[in-house]
Amino acid sequence: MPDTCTKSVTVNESLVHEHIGWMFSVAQRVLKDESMAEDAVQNAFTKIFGKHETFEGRSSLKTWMHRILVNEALMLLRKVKTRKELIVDHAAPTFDQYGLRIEDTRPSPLTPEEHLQSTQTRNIVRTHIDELPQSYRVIIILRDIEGLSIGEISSRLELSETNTKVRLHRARCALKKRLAPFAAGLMT
Amino acid sequence: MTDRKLTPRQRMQALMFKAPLMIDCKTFDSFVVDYLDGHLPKPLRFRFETHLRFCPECKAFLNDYKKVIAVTQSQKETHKVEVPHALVEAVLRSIPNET
Ligand SMILES: [Zn+2]
Repeated sequence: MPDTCTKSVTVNESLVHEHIGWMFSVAQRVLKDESMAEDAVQNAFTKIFGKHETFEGRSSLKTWMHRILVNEALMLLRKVKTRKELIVDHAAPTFDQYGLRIEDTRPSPLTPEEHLQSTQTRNIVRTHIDELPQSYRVIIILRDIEGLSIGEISSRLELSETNTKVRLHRARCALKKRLAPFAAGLMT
Repeated sequence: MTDRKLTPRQRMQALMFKAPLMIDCKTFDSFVVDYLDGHLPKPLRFRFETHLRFCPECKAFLNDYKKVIAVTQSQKETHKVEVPHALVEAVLRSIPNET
């Protein structure tokens, strides 16, 4: 019997139907592979079914399930750790000898957000996120799409917080650079 | 770090950013993540925002950077996928029966 001050999770078919859609979507985004995403979802549900009595209601049920799923997906991602990635950092901001930013003098290349909401644009953004080096891709997904905090990300990826922030910044700069030429084209 | 010739405006900036309570673009850059997360301590936030007022390059950079975050965030709602039927079945089968 669940304690009156802790919420309980009812494990039944409707729990599965209600959550499996977003869970599969998140897993696919992190893993970029359908069958691995299926494994992640299945493993996550196994954990959820096994641990539902430990859910304390401190966060929402969805947040709790989301954290479990992300952990399972990252676990699988670690297992397939591909060949060592060579990150050539053309995208990192550059500065001169006085610490001044060296940027293209072109006017701001990105279009207003309304433009970027169109389906076509969303697909392009998604493609560019997918094409980032894995260590950049994962950190951008965890922070800017899945909404994990820097602290949560650093513990899951076993990086220091400083390192996590540096990597996130580089990742966003890399994506910014990739999106710039396309966005400029959209404006005209 | 790249050596380059400065325009008169940039020469002014280089001097100005060395003044007390000012930061250069490189330091500004290292504060961006914390600033946007609302985690930059007040005195540093003041320096960050002062730099932003005087530096069109960093201002443009931050604008684009924020847009990149916005379009990335908008992936969340839009990414709808079809769940394989077999997966749904497998998960349903794994529901423990404990009543
Ligand atoms: Zn600057």
